Amino acid sequence: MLGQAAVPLVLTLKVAGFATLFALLLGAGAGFALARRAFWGRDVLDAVFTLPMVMPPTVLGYYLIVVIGRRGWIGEWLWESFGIALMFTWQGAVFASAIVAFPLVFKSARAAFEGVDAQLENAARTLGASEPRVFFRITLPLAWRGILAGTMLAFARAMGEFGATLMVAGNIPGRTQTLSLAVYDAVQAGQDDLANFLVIVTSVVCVLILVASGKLLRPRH
Amino acid sequence: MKIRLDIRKTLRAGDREFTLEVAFDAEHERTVVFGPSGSGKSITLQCIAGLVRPDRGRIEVGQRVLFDSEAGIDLPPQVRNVGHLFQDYALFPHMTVEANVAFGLKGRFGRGSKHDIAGRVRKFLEQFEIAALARSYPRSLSGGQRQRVALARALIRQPDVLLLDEPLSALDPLLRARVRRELLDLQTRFEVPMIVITHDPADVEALAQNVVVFDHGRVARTLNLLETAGESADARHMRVEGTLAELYGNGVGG
Repeated sequence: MLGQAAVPLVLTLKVAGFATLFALLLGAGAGFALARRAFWGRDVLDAVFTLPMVMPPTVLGYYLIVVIGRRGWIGEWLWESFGIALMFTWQGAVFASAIVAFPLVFKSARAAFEGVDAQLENAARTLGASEPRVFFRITLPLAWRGILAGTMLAFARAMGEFGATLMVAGNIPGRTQTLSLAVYDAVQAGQDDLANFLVIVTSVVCVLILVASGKLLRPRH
Repeated sequence: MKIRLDIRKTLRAGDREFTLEVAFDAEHERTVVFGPSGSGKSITLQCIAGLVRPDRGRIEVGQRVLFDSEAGIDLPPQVRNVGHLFQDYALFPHMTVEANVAFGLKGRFGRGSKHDIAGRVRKFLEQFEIAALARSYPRSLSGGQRQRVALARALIRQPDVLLLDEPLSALDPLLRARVRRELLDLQTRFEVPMIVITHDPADVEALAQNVVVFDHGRVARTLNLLETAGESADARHMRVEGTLAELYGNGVGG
């Protein structure tokens, strides 16, 4: 049973880890851009970026198929240029989970960047700090906790991803079958013991993540 | 060092519009910008520091042109070498007092060795009587201590001019008289010209050599308050009070 759980667990951590990394980079970048630049259509863009959080995962999965499927806008190009196919691979699961987790990072990053007092950045500028130095020494350290909180939630969300992953990556044991998909399979097959075990493993991992994020976010000064 | 300024800037917030159109020369070492809130004093300082870009005009500090819309000059704040003391001091909350003071010496000034910087910072912390607080974070400091950290942080870079945006408004009244003396002392010790914003007539009297009076985004008047030879302290006091009272009727500082 341990072996049956180990494979999906490792895959889940791998998929959620990469997905969170992408969600962090893109979400923090988008959050910073929208927090600092006022431009026409900003509210619409904010809504579009938040959409994956509220849309049914199947609808999202369908969109992703349209984009990254063999005949999709990006999928066709990826296949013809590099021979890379995302559909029914663990990389496809990363893509789906990253999209689903993205709004959690984006939302908290935007709020965190908006919470940084612009006067502090101005003070740094008058003290000779270049723009990258202002960002890495002032803005980012002050916004970091909010971004980290969002990233933790994003990881937990990516771990539990089901719908969009199923549509894009399928449910192939050993290749794209993550924990949540394995639980579904086990229940369908009437393997209650395995289902129980997988559910407990998932719950423990999630609790550990939340405890860790709580520790990281405790005030320091 | 002479500061010459002639700028125009229109600001919009919703359907309200505010036009700042000011020109003055700060010829003496201590210039006080005096006027009611909302008369454009802070924006003017931010234009000098390079944090707000005027629509047009010219800003000179000594022989350096910081901004000239016709010549297309607009130096970024990083290279203007203008010290700016913000109203709430803008100390970096995630850095210790020591790191705050050292901030302006690092990064761009890659040539200063770590050892030199540390020594210089220590000297400044001692001079400003904040050495005991070196490892404290800003939020554990009193208002007066915060201000000294902010002053040390700005002056350690040896700025060509120090801009102070209502340096005394965040302090309790008992402390103000002492801080006025300290500011005077700093100005002579560091030989740095100061432009100080205030709407407190007592600051004008204590600090000003010349006064620029702002009103509704314009310079209403400029005054020379240098002590005239043989004038007693009382006589000067009367003269300053009289001048300020004349400007605002009875409600000085509005």
